Amino acid sequence: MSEVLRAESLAINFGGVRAVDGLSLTIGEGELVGLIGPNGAGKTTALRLLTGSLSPNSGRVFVAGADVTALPVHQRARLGVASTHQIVRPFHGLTSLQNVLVAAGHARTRSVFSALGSKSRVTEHKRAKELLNLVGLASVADLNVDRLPLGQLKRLEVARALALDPKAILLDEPLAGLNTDEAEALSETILSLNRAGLTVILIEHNLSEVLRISRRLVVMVGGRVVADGEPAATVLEPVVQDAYVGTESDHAAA
Amino acid sequence: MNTYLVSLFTIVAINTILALSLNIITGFCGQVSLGHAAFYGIGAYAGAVLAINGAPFPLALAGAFLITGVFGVVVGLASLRVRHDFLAVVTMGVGFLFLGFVRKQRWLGGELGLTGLPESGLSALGNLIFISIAALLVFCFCLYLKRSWMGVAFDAIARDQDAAATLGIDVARFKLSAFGIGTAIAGFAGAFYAYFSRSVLPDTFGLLVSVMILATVVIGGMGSVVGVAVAAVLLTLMPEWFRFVNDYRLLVFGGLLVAVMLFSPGGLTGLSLRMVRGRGANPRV
Repeated sequence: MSEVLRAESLAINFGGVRAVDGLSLTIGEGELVGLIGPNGAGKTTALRLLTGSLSPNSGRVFVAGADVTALPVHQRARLGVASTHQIVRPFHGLTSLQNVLVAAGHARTRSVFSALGSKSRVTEHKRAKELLNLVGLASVADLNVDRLPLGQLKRLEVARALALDPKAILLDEPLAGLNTDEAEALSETILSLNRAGLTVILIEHNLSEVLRISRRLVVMVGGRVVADGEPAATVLEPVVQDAYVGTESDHAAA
Repeated sequence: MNTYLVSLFTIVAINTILALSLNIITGFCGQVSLGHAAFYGIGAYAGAVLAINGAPFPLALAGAFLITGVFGVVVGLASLRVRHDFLAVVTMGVGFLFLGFVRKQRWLGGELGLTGLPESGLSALGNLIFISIAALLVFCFCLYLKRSWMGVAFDAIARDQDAAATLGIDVARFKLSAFGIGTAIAGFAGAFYAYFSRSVLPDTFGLLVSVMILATVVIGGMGSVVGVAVAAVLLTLMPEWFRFVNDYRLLVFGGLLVAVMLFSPGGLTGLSLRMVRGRGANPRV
């Protein structure tokens, strides 16, 4: 199994707080990794370090073996690291289709010159429609995103990230705020994408769904990985149990 | 056509180019600029200096276009560090810097500006036709740009630049392109103005002019090529048609601006779209 994404001793401080503290993690091609941990464990920060929207104080990030630590977000996205936001960030005022189209045109927008020189949207339009169909949003393709409920916006984020044709997709709480049916439907979509070969890293508080679809579970506490392995066994490890029992109220609140 | 009408329509064409050029930066790409008159001025001075030193008309135009675009990219670097209202203040500062610099330069004529530019070689009517064709070309280019993938990238940046970056868009390069293209076209307008008036005065390029250009874009509907062109034509003609408007020019502009922001944030375009489609229309779509 070849490596898609690797973090090497990543660390970052926010003021006096060490949010991520020596995170090392290797994600292989085709894995579906659930990343869990109590609130404040540094999961989202870790994800942002991987995508490049944060720069680490120390440590390095590799994509397919190449050091990308110095590369900005858009370049990592072009190397195949797509992500969705915990709080949805649609392009307001556009339709669902137009939202996905922006990402589907990634080959066109590679440089300012190719972007200025091309106008045809035929293939991108088709691709965007396929993806909306895949995440179950075909019926709202031409609807302004400002009229979509949260559940659909979460799916839209996934479709938009997929439109980059990524090697790996990093999902930050895609199921949060969804009802049981919606959550199950979206996690089925994630599972089928993974079966089709996409590497997935899934940050989730919805433990039952994570345990159901993940094939590997990584547990973070206090900015570092405390457990990593087969989901059913990992979740029973004492260190994980401690972390969760200790913050039961936090977990319930999330 | 009498001289008055020829010069009036020439100004209409120049103002249209100017408004369309700011629309690329502010309307398409979402980068507010309160210093656009400085680029109009840089184009005018560059064109004038080139013309006085013997450059033929096409060369002076091309020179003004390129020189202004280079300055535009440099000022655009500011947009990589600051956003929104901060960018507006920075660009306003650039406008003051430009005036402050030009007024003290003897080789640019100081306070009195540059006068006695050679003729373009065209008659007044010839100038009008030439500048109108240029305005039409700029208009068509803007329509193309908006529909191109560059337009898609600009629009994504205008709406949410962080989300655009996660989708692989090089926000910095696209912003600088918007500034480069928009200001270069403003430089074009400046050079046309220099040839048309055959003199260049620093006061022509003050903050008030920057505000007027921005107001034209807002009133026309940010990002709408047709709306902004129509607004530029109407807002230039209006003070001439109605003499009383000329005396209260600022009042009318200010009143329109307030009315647009309060009642039709999409500008004239939003207003007409709403009348056609019902509520909720957005001119950017």
